[in-house]
Amino acid sequence: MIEFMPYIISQIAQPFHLILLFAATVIGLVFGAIPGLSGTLAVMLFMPLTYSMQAGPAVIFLIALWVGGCSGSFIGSVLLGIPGSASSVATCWDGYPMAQSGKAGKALAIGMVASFVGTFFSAFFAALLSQKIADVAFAMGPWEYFSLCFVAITMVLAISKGNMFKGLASAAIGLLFSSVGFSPIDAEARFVFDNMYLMSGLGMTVVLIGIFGVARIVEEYGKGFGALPEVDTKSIKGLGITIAEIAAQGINIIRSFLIGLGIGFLPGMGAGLSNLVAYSSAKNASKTPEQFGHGCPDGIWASEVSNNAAIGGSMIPMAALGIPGDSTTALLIGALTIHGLEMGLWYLKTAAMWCI
Amino acid sequence: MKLKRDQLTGAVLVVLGIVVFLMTTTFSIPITAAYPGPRMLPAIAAFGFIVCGLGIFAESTMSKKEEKQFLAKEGWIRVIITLIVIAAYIAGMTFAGYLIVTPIILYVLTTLFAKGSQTTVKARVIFSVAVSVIIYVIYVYAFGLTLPGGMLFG
Repeated sequence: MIEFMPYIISQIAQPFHLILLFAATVIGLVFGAIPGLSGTLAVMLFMPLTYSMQAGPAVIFLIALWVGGCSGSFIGSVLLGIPGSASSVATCWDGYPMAQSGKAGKALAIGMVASFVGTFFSAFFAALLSQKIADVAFAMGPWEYFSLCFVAITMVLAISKGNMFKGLASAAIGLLFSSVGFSPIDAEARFVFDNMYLMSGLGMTVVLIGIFGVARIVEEYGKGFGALPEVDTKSIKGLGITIAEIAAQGINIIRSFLIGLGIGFLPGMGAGLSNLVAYSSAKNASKTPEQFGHGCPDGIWASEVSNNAAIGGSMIPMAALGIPGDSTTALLIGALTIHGLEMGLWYLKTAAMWCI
Repeated sequence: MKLKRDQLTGAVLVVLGIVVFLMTTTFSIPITAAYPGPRMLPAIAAFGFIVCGLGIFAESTMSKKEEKQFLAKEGWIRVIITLIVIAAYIAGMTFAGYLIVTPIILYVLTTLFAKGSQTTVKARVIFSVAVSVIIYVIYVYAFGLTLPGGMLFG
């Protein structure tokens, strides 16, 4: 990697590339923050714009869109209680209560710093350890994937507030929702009722907006909209978070980072799973688990570090094996192929990979 | 004996689990040891519904704690009205399309939500029309996507 550093710096330091990087990050943040849009949609919609660019700026633009989208999803979670995408579902549980108690600034600061930490170090690990981690990912088979999914579903028990049966029932509802449509291997129509709208299944975006958006608005209206709390801006200095507060979260950050990186590098898994697993692990490891769900900063740190760590994790199978880590990397593989960058073992040996 | 909310929830879950299980028996590929097939996950969900439904029902029956009221009667009326408005939006969009129905529904919803606060009819009309147009322009011209045109306008 060291031998490619001059090339990497020369690419990123160009004024036009810096402007592209900034613009794409802002666009990605906006897409990530708005419920229903996401970084993946941003990559999909802006990909045609990159066809006229050279490979370097195209890569910078698309990756910045993706990272911005993944990072921006916490904004909707904190301010509206509606996750911008599936990768910030767990952020809602503590971010929104913090906003409701007037600490929106602090919650946003935590999300921002956590997103940076997760993305920066995961990209670093992806660049250094792609080949070795890709070998491990390649060795995993259907048994390991099923075990991981089973663990994720049973983790619902760990994060269920109060009633274990209600938590498991909600997991069963999730299983049922995911079964709607044609089954992936046999194309058996399940719970379609001859309705063409159900044939392709229930989209994650639709379910998220229904559960978090519509349900919350209807419930708040039913209870009568309360007065919005005053946001505490006087005590915020700088970013709104101190070095001591970040240091106190050290173990939580490292654990969530490893969870995000690990889940991210498994093909087919991504930030949507990692934020829930990291949140559950943080709650189990905490000395005050009863505070989770009531505005505990640990929950926001766990969710946001892990979902951004999954970015670097997803890039590992993409770059090393040419296998997409999640839906966004699947799009990126296509986009990079158009620019003459073939993913796989050859790609690891080129400067372009380190540039990402 | 007054039925508790959780007792009703448990009963509904048990019935739903039975219905889902019966529906999975209509799938053409059976569950075998070698190949679970498309019935497996829905069957697990059905089993989960039945077990959890019985658990919720039993816990609620044995518990002596008073259930907290979720919503008052007026609150439930507001919830039902909102759901009717949303259902009308979906039905209206199928027939008349996005551009006609959305400003109307937005105006109705903002009027409902604005009760008690000082907003004028003019402000709500401008807001409803402006939001609908802005979203239309972004989706159709910026993203190149289509929004429902409705059966009336093909």
